[in-house]
Amino acid sequence: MLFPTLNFGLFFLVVFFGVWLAARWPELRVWLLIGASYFFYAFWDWRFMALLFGSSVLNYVGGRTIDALEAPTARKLALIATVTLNLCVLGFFKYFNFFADSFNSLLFALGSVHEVPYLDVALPVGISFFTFHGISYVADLYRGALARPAPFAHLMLYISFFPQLVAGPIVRASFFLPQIAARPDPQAIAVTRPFLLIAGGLFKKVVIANYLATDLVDGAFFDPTSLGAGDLLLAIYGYALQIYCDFSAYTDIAIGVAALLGFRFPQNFNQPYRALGLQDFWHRWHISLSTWLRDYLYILALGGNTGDRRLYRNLMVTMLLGGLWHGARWTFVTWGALHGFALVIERAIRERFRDRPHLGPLARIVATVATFHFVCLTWVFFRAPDFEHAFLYLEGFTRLSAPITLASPFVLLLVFGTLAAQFLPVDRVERLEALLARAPMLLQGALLGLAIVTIDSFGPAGVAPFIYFQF
Amino acid sequence: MSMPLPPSPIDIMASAKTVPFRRAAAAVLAAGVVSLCLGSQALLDWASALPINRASDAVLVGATTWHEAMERVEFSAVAEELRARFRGFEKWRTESR
Repeated sequence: MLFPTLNFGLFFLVVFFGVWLAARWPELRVWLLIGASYFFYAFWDWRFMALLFGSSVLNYVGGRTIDALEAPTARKLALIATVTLNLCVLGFFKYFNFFADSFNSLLFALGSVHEVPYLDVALPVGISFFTFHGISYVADLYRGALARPAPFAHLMLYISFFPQLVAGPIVRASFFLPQIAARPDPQAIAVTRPFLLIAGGLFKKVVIANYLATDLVDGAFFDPTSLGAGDLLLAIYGYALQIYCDFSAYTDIAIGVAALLGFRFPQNFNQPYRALGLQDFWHRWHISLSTWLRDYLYILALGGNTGDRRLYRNLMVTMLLGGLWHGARWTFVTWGALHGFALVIERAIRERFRDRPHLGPLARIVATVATFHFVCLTWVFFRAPDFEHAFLYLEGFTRLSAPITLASPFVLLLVFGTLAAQFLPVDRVERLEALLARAPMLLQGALLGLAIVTIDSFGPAGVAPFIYFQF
Repeated sequence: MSMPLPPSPIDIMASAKTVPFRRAAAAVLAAGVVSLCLGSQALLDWASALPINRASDAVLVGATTWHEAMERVEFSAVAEELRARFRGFEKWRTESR
């Protein structure tokens, strides 16, 4: 069930009224939300509902065990066991064939005729996200960020809550579970800002991301050999903006939908292409993933900032695994490695010029442009299905004299208009909210309805799945 | 175990204006009603695509009646006008390639 569909609209209307009418009975409300979330998940593939339930059981048992133990070593072992089991489930569904393929290539290179058999398993939608939620729960419990284990129903809801279930944002257990336990307040429901996020998200996904894909990006990546440097540069700008609009649209709608149900999610994107460097970029791009990797992998598992060498190693490992998290392909690992390597270099340069932390206006422009182009370069590996396509794409940048064929006025408007929007004021949503909040609620609702119909009329036929569903 | 957590990511809903349930419900209902009035064709398309059974037959009859009513009061004309403008936009888009 995709957000920009009538199915979801009707589903949400039922859930909204059901949940708020049950606000007096908090446990009933929790079970209603669990029922709605499992129904939402079953719409993708009902067979994996058992996996979702199994993930809740695993982490519930793991959490109770960690809480019951007192000896630090035993607690740590219980944490490691639970995290390992979580990763085994993720690894089985997401990475088994990837590693089997890599292992078979190695065997073949060594002259062996034997090979590891491949498995015919579908990738459960959202498995990376709910696995990370499960790990966040046991890790937060282990390090005391959660005072006590959550009741089973609360944990079930945390792991399955439908707005975040299939593509995030990844919400820390210690941030979300207290919200489930708190009594909902029907006197304080955010409406105007969620409406703005939902309308803006629909526009970004249905209009901008979809047209960038159909009119520019898909063709360029399908056959990069037919295009010259100008077109390929435009197409990679297009992909950078398409993936941003697609993914940030999903999280904006998720944040808006959750807020209408009385839950708060953290910010996930903050105008990433205005970043002054890669570290800044990762503070603005998929913030919930980079925060998760920082909190649970970089700090908890790897030890964080402990000496230059370990710091650089930890950065590389975190980015390599971050790349692999996106998908079982070496191109994703390469994407993560390029970011890791560049982060290490950037860190070393920062250390070298520690006494001059502020950039002048010209240096800021150069830094922003350079960061954007480096990120665009790495997107080639992220988007290309394999190395062959990625290198064919990069090779195309040598065809400098080839004519530019993809730069129609519409495409240029999409690319440069969306890029310019990255430099709008940081508080643009708050300003719009202040303006719109003066209107009566009925009018605000009517305007959202009108926006939905208009966006639906202006988008291409059908709705493509969100890019991040595959992760 | 005692390692401190870095600060939480920014909670962008913390400063959002809030209203009581009645007003929130009115706004959500208004959004739904306007969408279904102006987008009655989309509702009809959705109902037509449902798997065929007794329940979906009833839904389809309801969606058809609703769409006809919206046509009579010319609400669906708004969406048709938007679509006509979209076709003009499509023409511009393809010609500008």
